[in-house]
Amino acid sequence: MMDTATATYREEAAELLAELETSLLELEERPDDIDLINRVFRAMHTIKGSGSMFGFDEIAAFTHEVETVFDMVRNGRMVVTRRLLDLTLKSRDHITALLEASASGEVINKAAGDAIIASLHQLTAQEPAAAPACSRPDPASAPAAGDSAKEYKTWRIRFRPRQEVLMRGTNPITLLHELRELGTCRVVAQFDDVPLLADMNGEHLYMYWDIILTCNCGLAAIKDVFIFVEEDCELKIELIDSENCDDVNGDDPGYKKLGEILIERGDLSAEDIQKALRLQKRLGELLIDQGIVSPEKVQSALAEQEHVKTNREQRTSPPAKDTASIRVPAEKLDQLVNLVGEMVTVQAHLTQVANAVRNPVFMNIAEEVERLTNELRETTLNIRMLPIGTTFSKFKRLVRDLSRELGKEIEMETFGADTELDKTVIEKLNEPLVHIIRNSIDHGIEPPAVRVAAGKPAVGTVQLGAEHSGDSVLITIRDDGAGLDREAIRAKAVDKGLIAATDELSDAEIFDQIFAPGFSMAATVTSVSGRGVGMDVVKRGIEGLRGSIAIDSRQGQGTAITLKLPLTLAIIESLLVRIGDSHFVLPLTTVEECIALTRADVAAAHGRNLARVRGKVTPYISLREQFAIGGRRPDIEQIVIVSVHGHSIGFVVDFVVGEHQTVIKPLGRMYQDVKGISGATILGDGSVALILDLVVLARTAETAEHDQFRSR
Amino acid sequence: MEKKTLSSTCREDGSILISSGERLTIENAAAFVACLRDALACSPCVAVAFDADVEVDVTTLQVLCSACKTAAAEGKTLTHHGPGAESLHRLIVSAGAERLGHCRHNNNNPCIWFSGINQ
Repeated sequence: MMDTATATYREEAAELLAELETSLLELEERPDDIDLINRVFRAMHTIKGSGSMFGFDEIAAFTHEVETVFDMVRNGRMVVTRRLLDLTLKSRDHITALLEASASGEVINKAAGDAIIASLHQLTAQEPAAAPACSRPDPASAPAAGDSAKEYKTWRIRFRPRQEVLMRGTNPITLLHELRELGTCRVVAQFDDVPLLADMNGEHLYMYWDIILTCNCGLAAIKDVFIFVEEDCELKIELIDSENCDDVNGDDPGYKKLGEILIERGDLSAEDIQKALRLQKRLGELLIDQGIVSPEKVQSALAEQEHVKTNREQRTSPPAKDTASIRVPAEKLDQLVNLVGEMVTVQAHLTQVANAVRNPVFMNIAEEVERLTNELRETTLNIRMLPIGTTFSKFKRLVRDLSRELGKEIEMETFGADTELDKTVIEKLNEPLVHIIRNSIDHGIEPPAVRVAAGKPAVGTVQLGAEHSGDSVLITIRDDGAGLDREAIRAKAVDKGLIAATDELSDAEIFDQIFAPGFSMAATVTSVSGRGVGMDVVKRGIEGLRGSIAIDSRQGQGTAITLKLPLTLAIIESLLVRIGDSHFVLPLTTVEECIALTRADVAAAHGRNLARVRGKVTPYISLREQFAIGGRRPDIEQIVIVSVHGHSIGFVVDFVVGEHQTVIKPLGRMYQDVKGISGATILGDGSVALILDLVVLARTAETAEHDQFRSR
Repeated sequence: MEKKTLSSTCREDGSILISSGERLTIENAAAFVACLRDALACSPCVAVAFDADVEVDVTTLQVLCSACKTAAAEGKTLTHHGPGAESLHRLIVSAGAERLGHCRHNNNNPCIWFSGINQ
């Protein structure tokens, strides 16, 4: 039980730490933004509160120190400075380290945490003496009228935790203690719902609490107390009294009638009150009976009362919650996707059998199963989709820290943070993005003086964005730095023997040379980059995700690197082809068209693997030759034209079977190094089809041709 | 030293004495419920004795309240035995559970558990 609770805490704390980092980086840009300050405070408050509750005492104690500082900021006793943000970001890193150490059992250097706390204390000591955020009302120091920050208000709180809350490790008594720290507090435990022993589950919570709290905190501070149980309780917080009574009840008296309070608390229904009141005459009736006022005037007054009441009810009715969510372990999602993958395979088999049997009833059922399987597949894959923005904050931090280390001034802009990608793709994207951004900062953006001399703003910009493009996502990393030096890259590539001095290459082909292993343009090796290790790894990483990478650069203006990635890695739409008895699949997103290749076409090309497609010469690769598949070639073969890195290239097959839902299965260890094959899938009849790695096949063919040409 | 655990004893007069042992928390709340339920089923008179240092939590309060309601509903007697525990008293105060008036679930009798009388 507690293991689940601590695991949940770790997950939630990790999310809060990511949110904290994002908020702090945004706060650096907008230091006066109260919402951001509150977000920082709330994140730390939750990390501390939950940490204390689930036994992460070291995290709770450390976070308390940082939270205290931000409480001062929240209450206007300190301003957000760069020094404060530096220390808070360091604190955030230290909390992350503590959290990770709690899972791994690693021992964390306590001195590092103590040094941060000492620096925070030093920082707060420079500020004017801070008053506590909330304090108990003291009649002797009654606040001046209109001083809303110090105004004491009385709140009615009904806290009704869900029955299972104790099993999640929550201790409601801790929350009551926290409330008492906010001001004068009267707590009344309610036992109405406690059942007889026969109906009792000892681990369930049946009690709930009515609390009256008078303090000079706002509603947000009170809600903060319940922040980490807000999804596990019903919480009603109402302002019932304040120094400025007009705020509360308008023209009402300063206190409420007994019946009103009982109804508001939910202890009595309005009908119960009505029943009791029916036994006595109402004020209006008494007044009419005594002839003091006419029935019409009473009726009119009641109508006004009803009108105001209705308006107030409409104003105060809470908006309906628009969404609800639950937390599911990632492994369970992976398991679900695997099961859906199996289902897709079985469904394909069913369809195949139904078509063979040609029984209309059977075929109808197979079609219905196919429809439902497709819906299930779409829905399941959507569940795994995460907004890429969850990783953006990490890169903002990277830019911030590296630019300082290199003495550059760089701003990071992001767009398309809501763009969704499969969680596996997002996880594997981290390393390539780090490489690219580090390169942009180190080699791309110039030092401020150089930029100013070149007529650019001293502050450079790195832009990271994501957007949908068909069934792919484009991720662009753009900087306004020096750009790539085309001639220098060409010279280096020639020097390294990657290209011939006489080769006529486009800009894109020259820029592609930087992806060669060991290629580096850095004059010096820095701690950031320049060792020639990186861009080839980046390219391999992206291609491993079935994606591609493209560079566009203008010297003196900047560089844009675009990554094209598939939305998911689990199930892809593909084109199924056959060569002899072997089946292969090609990702459908890359397929442009299919054309016939006759013996006459082959003869016309004089032995070269070239076909004329609508007037354009297109190279092709014979997969039969590539994989040494025996048997007789059909008289008319098919060329599947695909797009690889913006170039059209054909793959010759015997027969195009058609579109296919491909559930990607990894290759075993024996086959994982086979060039040109990236995976396998199981067809409806149980046979295996290999998934072609078109990029590698094209590159291999290109290299072979290049070598052949040079050897002549 | 041997740990004291939750236990019940049938006394010569037919009453049952339940001893808290060192702990009455969520970890043994189900056992505490079962112990009280069985005792009230077997005997018209059940008493609960608290260890001086008994560890308690919010489940203790609920189980005691539930047992009191059950006893009242069945016309049986549920009482304290011996001195109250300081930890239970502190819990009652911090949970806001003090009941100084009569309890309708206890046949409108004063609450002997949360009124502070025996705590």
